Amino acid sequence: MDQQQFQKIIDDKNPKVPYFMNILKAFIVGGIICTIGQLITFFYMRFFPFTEGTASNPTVATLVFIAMLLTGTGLYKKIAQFGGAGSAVPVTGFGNAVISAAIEHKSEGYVLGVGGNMFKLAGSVILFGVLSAFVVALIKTILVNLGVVSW
Amino acid sequence: MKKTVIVLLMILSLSACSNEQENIVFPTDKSTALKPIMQKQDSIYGYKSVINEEDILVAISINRFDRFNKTKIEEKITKQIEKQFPEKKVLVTGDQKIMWEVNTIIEKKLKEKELKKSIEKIKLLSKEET
Repeated sequence: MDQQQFQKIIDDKNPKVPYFMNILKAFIVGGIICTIGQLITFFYMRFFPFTEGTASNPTVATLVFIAMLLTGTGLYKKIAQFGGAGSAVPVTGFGNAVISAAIEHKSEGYVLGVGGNMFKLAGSVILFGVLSAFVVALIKTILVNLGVVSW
Repeated sequence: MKKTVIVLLMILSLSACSNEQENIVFPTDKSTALKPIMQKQDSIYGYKSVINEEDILVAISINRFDRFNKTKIEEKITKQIEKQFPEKKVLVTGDQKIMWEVNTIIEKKLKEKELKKSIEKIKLLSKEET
């Protein structure tokens, strides 16, 4: 029995991944989270002096705060099991990654435990977010200086 | 349970249909020069405007897919209005918040002094970046 035959047997025995249902669930859960975010944006615009451009900052903070409460009570885990990527891609997933790491390492102390491990998962998000923003800004600056596009 | 869901869906779909945008210029007697400019814009579906001695505020509702070019549309309309009113300061914006603020001015029918105050407030708000 060579490698390919072995792989074929494994593929036959494994349960089939319900791709379509997963995509549908992720779409619905992600859509609900984003709708809640939009409602929070409208709330800040209606009752506080925020415009469309500036209301996104308090909205992100509020969503991360809600994600913190849900992570602490264990509810976010259930949402993530149902929604998959739909609950990981919005900013609540980022909040969940930070807060669950903080809770996990609380027993090791506040400085070396919580402080040192809080960005274990989310650190790569921040690093590559900054890096890709830098690269995109660099490309745009070059294109603007060449006169292809305008700011 | 099923009935409530159906009723909720009906309310949602009905309220979405009745969301028609009207075109208002306040005060009405100054609208003659502004109206033709706004009418020939095909990337917006409504506007609300306030005019006083120094300023023109125009809050526009940009079509869903034209929102990608929001700044360009705003600049284009600003230039056209500035040509028509060279002595006034023009602010054209597609921001929903400004739309609401302009709407409150129109609904309250503010007089000159208060009007000037609220226009200043809106202009400050539109400059806000934090």
